[in-house]
Amino acid sequence: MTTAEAAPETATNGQRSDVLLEVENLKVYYDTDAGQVKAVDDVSFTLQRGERMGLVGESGSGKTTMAMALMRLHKPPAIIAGGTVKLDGVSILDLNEEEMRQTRLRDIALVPQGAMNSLNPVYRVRDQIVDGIKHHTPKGEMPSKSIVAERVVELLNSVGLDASVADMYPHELSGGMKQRVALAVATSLRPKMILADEPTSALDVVVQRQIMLTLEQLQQEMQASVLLVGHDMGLMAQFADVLGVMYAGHLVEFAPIDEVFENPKHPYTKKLISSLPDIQVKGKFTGIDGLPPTLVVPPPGCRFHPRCPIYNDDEDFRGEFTDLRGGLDTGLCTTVDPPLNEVEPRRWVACHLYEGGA
Amino acid sequence: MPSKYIVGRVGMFFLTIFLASTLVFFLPRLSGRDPFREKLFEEAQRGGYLEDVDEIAAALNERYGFDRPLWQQYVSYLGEIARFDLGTSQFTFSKSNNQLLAETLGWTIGLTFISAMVAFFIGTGMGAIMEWRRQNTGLLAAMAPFLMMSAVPYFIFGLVLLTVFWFSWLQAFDWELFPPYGAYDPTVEEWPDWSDFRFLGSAVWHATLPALSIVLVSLGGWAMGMRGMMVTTKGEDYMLQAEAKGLPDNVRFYRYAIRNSLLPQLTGLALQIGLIVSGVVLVEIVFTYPGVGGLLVQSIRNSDYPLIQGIVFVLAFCTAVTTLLLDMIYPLIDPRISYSGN
Repeated sequence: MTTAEAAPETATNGQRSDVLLEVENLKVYYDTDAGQVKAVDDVSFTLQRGERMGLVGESGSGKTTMAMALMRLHKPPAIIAGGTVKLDGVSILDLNEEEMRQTRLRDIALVPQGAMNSLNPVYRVRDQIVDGIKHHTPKGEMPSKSIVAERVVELLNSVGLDASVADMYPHELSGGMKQRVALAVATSLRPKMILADEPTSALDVVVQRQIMLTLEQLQQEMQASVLLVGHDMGLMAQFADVLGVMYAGHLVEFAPIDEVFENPKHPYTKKLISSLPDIQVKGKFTGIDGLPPTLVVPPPGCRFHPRCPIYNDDEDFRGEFTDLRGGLDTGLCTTVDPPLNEVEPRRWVACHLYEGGA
Repeated sequence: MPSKYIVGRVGMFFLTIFLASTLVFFLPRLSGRDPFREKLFEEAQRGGYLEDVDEIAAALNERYGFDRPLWQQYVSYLGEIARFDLGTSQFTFSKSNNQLLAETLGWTIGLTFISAMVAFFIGTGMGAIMEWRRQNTGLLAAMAPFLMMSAVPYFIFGLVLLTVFWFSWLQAFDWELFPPYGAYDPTVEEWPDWSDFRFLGSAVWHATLPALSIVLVSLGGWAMGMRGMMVTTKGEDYMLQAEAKGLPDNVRFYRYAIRNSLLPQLTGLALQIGLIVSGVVLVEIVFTYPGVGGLLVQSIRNSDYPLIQGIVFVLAFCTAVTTLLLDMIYPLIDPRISYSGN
């Protein structure tokens, strides 16, 4: 596996702007009878060309909602309540339906969850690869059948599948093969960005590794950016260049992956990483106490404070954070929602601990 | 393997025919009546002459073979059925059952097939659009009357249509919108000549009300069934993926949503065929349509075994053929079917 160092170099060698995806103050709300659920609230981040970003968070933290909103695939009652999404300089949220349709697959492609039946059961694999290409090619410019057939074989080979798979139906494929077909579909138009929403969920670890290697290989070859949504920290560590951590609709930490693992800044990330089991030491399984808050009425101030080890002065964390906590005005935690600040170069954290030059 | 599938379905077809013909042989005979004797008594009461009834009945029964043991009758009946010889009616001697059915069956099948198809396609289409354009609540509202109608039996609805189109205010204007009975205008042509447009026109015109009573009653069911399937299909992962693939709305509607929702609808159609046929039989009576309906009711009233057998056998045969055809179409629509069970 290529490590995180490789990507930034490749990202800077083009003449175009290095930034591919720019998300600013994105708000995605669900309008429900119980009130507005702020599933994604004021999320901002940028993704470099060719960079691989991981996005983790608990179930219900808004990561999938955000990923779907980036392709404008969110379904009612979800609405984009504000913010901007720019993909290669194009404002996604201002496109009309037809432009958005053209953008999907051509510029930004989705690799679905591994557990999904993302292939239409009644058509052969070939037809499902071709229809995406066909509907992104202007009328009359569709290449001849033999050229298209060659392209299908090429795509299937690129994801490690035999050409004979083209004439199979989805029910004749294994879970791993289906996911490879999904990869072939997603890369059929060489998109600038691939959005992978838990692509390996429900696959065993061997297949999981194969799929991730294939994804990485395709990404390298196309120089596409990848946003990998999931909750497998191990997978993220191996794949991603940068990691975003979401909690209760907020992006609470955004930083290069190595730094997140070595020195997590946000208390939530800290607990998340310390909860990872260590294969060398058989220790007590530690989690994060409590449950994520309801997003209809989020806790006042920092959304994490009811579970925050620093705010609650958790014994396990006292040593490490004593100095920092000394400078923390815990009153702020319950009243002011901390914004995402760049506390060190390329390290973004939303926590009052790091405010005021701490 | 597909060939195995075809063999299985064809086998099923023959089994169905066999069971249906067996049932229709034994069921009417369970009544234990002697139709000839009853008829003779009836005639005798009318005419006042009441001698030798038993002898005449016995002679007739002998002639029809009803005096033989049941199993012998059954065996010879099976042989006749296999040769498509439906025998001779006990009370309509002038024509063989084959002739009687040849005259009437066309009308019934034409009416049933066309109205069932029209109802199926319109209903399915309405249901599909209703769910696909969910934001358009007007479509749902337009559906309400059809749902109400679907609770009414065909023949009752036929009576309602007759009342509305015939016995009511329309008469005040001496305006015959649709004819209330018959299958064609007898003044146009003595006997069906389908190459004559005037005859064709009058046949369609006469079939409108009976067809309408079938179509309007079954439309709502198809629409609701399809709508339900569309709701399920819309939630499938491949629908999201189709959108993520940037496929246009119409492609997602036809090739993804409808294509996958249609399968249970077709199963429904195969199951409904029998019900539609039996419903049509009553509709024909309401509209005095010259199909098998009137013949069947008359034959049941008379306990006319050979005619009952003939009509029911032919109806069962047609239903089985339709089901077989649908079974053959099914694997073309759903590739998973032909491989299941292996």
